[in-house]
Amino acid sequence: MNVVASRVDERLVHGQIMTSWAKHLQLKRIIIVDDQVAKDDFMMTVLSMSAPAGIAIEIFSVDDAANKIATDTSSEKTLLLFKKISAALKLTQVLKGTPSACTELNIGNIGSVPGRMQVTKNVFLSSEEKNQIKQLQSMGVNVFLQMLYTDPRTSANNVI
Amino acid sequence: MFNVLLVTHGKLSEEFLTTACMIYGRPAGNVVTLGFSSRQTQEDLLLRIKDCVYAAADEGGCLILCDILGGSPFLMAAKAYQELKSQFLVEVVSGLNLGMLIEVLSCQEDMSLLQGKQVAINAAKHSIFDLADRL
Repeated sequence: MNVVASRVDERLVHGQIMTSWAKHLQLKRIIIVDDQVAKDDFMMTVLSMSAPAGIAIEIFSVDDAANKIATDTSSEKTLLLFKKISAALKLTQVLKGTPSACTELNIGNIGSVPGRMQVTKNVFLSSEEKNQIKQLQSMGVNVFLQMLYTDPRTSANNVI
Repeated sequence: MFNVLLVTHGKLSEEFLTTACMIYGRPAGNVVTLGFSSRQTQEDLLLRIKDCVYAAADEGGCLILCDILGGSPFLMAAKAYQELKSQFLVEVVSGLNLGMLIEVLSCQEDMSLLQGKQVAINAAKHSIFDLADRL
């Protein structure tokens, strides 16, 4: 699988992803990796109908995504999109040491809920999530924060 | 008669309503605006949308107009629709524009929710116009 970027964005496929990133990365496919969404037929339908022209949306649980990534031989430029850092961590753990191992992760957007602290304008993290970022880093993943393509990258080290 | 709920990113919904009122005048029916900022969560937005659907139960239902297909406002309106449609009158249309809103405001008091939805869709479709093509 030709994964050109990986991103955590609580809102999944929303305006920003569809326009700025898809264009910049010349995406042909967005793969949503989320155990909950993968069980929700209705949300899968709605997300798929929201796909911009020319971009396919596929939705997998973490385990199924790992399988798909390991076996897919398409050269289509693909974005892996996570709702939660925990899913990115789990996928990274499964793929560790394989040719498809994850190398970088963009934390794009995580909203405010009780228990999370604001770290940038668009990202709020709990101590558990900060810990998950550290685990990702310890596996060699370059974790950074970048909301829009035109924003500068902020290293996760500055916020955890 | 039906209630109108505008759900958009940022302050767009408020501005849509303010500007529509400038052109159309004060709406006769209930119009509520909800803006979604990057500080909020989708769950929070969903709760607020559902509250508006409940509140419209005795008003002929709720016509939800969202800004873009696939955005959080649309996704949460879709979720609210899915969860409440069996018990409440609710419809969701994406692609909100000013022409759509003005047309909807003008029929809100006289039409049913389903008729209003059709007005919204037709108004938006007809508002896209290639000038060069028509000259």
